[in-house]
Amino acid sequence: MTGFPGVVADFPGGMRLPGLREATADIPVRGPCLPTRLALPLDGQVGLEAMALVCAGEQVQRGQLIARAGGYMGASVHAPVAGIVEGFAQVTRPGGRRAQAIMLLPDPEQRDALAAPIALTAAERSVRHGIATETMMARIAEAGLVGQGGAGFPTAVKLSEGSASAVRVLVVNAVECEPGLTCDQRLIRDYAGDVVLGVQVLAQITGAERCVVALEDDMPAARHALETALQVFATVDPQRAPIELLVVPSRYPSGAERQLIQRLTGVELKPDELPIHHGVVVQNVATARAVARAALIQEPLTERYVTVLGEVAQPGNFRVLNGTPARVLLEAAGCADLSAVRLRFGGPLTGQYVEDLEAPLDKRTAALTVEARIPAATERACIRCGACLPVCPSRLHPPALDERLRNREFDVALDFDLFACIECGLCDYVCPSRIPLVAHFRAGKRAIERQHRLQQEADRYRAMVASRAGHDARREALADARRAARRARRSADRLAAPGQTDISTAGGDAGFASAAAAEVGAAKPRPAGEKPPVLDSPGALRTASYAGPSAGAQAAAPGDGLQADIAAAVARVRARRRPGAGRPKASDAEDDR
Amino acid sequence: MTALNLSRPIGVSAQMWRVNAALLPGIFALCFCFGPRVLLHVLVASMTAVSIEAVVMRLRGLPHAPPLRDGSVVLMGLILGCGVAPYASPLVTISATGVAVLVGKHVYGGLGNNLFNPAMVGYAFMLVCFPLESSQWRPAVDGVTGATVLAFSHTQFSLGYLRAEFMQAPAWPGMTPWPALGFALGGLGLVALRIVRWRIPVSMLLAFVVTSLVFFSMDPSTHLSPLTHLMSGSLVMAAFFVATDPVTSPVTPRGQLLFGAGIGVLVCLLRMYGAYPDGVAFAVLMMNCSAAWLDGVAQPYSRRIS
Repeated sequence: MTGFPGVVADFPGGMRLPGLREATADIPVRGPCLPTRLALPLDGQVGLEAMALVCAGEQVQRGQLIARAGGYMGASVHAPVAGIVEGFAQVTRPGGRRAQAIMLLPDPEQRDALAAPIALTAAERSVRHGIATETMMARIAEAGLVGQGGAGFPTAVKLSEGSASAVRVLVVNAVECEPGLTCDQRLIRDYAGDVVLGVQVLAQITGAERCVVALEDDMPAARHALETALQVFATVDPQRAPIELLVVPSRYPSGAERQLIQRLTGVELKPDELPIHHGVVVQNVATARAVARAALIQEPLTERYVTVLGEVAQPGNFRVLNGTPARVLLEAAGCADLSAVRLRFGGPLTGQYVEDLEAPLDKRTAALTVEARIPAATERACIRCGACLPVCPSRLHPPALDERLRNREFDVALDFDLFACIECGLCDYVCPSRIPLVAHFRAGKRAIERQHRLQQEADRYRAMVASRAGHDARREALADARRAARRARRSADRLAAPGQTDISTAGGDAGFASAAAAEVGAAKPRPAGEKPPVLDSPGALRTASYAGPSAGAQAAAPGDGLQADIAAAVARVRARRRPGAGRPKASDAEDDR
Repeated sequence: MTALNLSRPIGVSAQMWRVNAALLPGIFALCFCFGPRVLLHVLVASMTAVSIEAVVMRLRGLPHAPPLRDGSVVLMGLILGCGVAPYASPLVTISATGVAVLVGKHVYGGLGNNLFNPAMVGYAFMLVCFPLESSQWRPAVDGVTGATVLAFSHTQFSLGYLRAEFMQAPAWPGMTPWPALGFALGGLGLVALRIVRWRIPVSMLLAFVVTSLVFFSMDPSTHLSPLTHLMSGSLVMAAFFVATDPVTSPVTPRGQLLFGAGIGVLVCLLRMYGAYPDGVAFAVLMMNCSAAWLDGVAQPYSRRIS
């Protein structure tokens, strides 16, 4: 692509949606507004719920750890401001779930302590060389960092998984995740130095050969700020590998991880592949800044930049404390009538509707989209116009998928690559019939996952039952064989005692026949001392052989070779007079014939 | 999000009303060439379509307001009305419209589910069941029904006359290119508005011209020229307004090209060798039922299986 050095390929689909950023891009960041009550949710998008370390009535300090990550895949929660823990309550989360949250009453006298964080100083920058990578990793985990691009994946996990395999390229993603969002570029303009430092810390941790910061072509101010910061760092730290600036054409969804990687490397990731499989680690630019602050000055992640856009008097970017209820932010942005708007956590295309205005914003809420509460357009039948096909960045066939999901043909939907859908929302946006395709796909994915889970459970139980039954059967067969062997030995001994008979000529000898039958585990239990039954015909032998439960194959075959079989069996019994060696191996029998 | 909603593509309903509006130049041209009775059929057809649709939706227990408001029923009536010979009885129009709505659309489950273009189902029904009525394009003069260029030349060719002979005949109806031009004007407007994608009309007309040119150059005396063909019958209207019906045409770009080309070739062959002067309805119906297959041929739905 000409004019965009570093962009080696383009991703399919996508749409240019210009004209949405002007309203917020050049307004300085406002806030934070200190609400009367913060609700700090304990759940993350990924991983286990955090474990609260405080109880109601407890006084907490700003930055104090108040809930520890519930496990490897969790993230810790820190108090954004000093105050008193009011207790615990259920809060609404994007997507309609309810989750436990710590309710914190901020100390009203802390208001002036909420000045904007000061960018990292030169002294703090120089500290970096003295800190071991392991220490940095531990600090990042401790600071409760999660991906701030929207996925909310714990940063420490992503980094440690990354360092385990070879990271070739580190991409710090400053391409806004949706049209209309400007929080990332505002952050770069305010904290370009922190961002560059974050990139360097990330590069040290991952050991990446190449570091790229990806920007969009419609954010010249952010680009300028970053270039200036990079120059400063280049003079301070000339031996460092240079950080590349990659400017990509602004076309939604170029900020999506997979699409960005495709532009950078030309590789289209398969649905089940992760960037790390191609040696790439992508981190959001806000995360990179938080990494720098966590690794160098041990600052926990308790706030972020949020774009408020849509039907508000003063749209713009806000510094938002983790746990701030949406209502507070709406009022700060000058929303006149809270009942006349509908709220989306996230951007205008992928944001999830949240009806509860008290729902708290968290570390991964990049935007609040305020829509007028107008009656939703009626959904009509698909007229197969095909408008959604050329915009799909995953090259899917949305109407075909939708129809399969409606008919619950899940296997076909999987063949049509349902899980390659990144839920960008473009098919919804262009659909003239206003079909909520992404919502259908999301529900379909959930249904398939549920079915898959149920199937796995059923398989496990079946395997358990089967293995139990198999175990019992095997044990019984073994016991039978041992019993038969014992019996055969006993009868053989009894026969051998009166006089040595020549076994090679013992065709008509009932004793030998009986021993042979017992050898294959066929004899019924007999009272001790009773004489063995007299077998004088091949038919009788067969009956006897088949009477037992175990599958005695060898001697059971009547016919021409019968006498030889019997003789061989008896010989075997004599040869192996030791416990547990009752049955000859099948291969022996084969040889004998 | 105001700005985002402004740039959002318009909905089905708005698209349909624009298509209806784009039909008007063609309808006026038809009136100009064939008299005001064209309007009668157009009105009868669309009103019948709307009322039958309302009744059917009511019987099916579905809300009847949305399909009436979105203009797709009116559009079907307008297209069908344009195809009816002006001097046919309005009863023909009514019955054809009834077949179109009931058999063409609702037996498949309503809008979006029909396999065939409903207007063409009604039109084909009319051609097959009322052949005499559907040839009365001009008032009968001296007991001889007035024919169109296509009908006249079809008869003359079948009687063994050469093109140069019957074109001198006093009964030669004369060229009426205005309807085709009117429909082309409206159709191009829709293409410019991106309501109709260019692939189907372009490939259809191109395939038609190429095929008719091959026949014409082989034997000009027994074939009409491509230009005469193009300006006669319902070819141009079908190219812009019928074949482009999204429900019954392929979704994929390559499928659309194949679909249009198929109609173009079939129309040409049906005009030359078919039992009827024009074959647009039959060609469209034939390609309708291969639309899904064409999609699959042109671009597999799935990337994993192919």
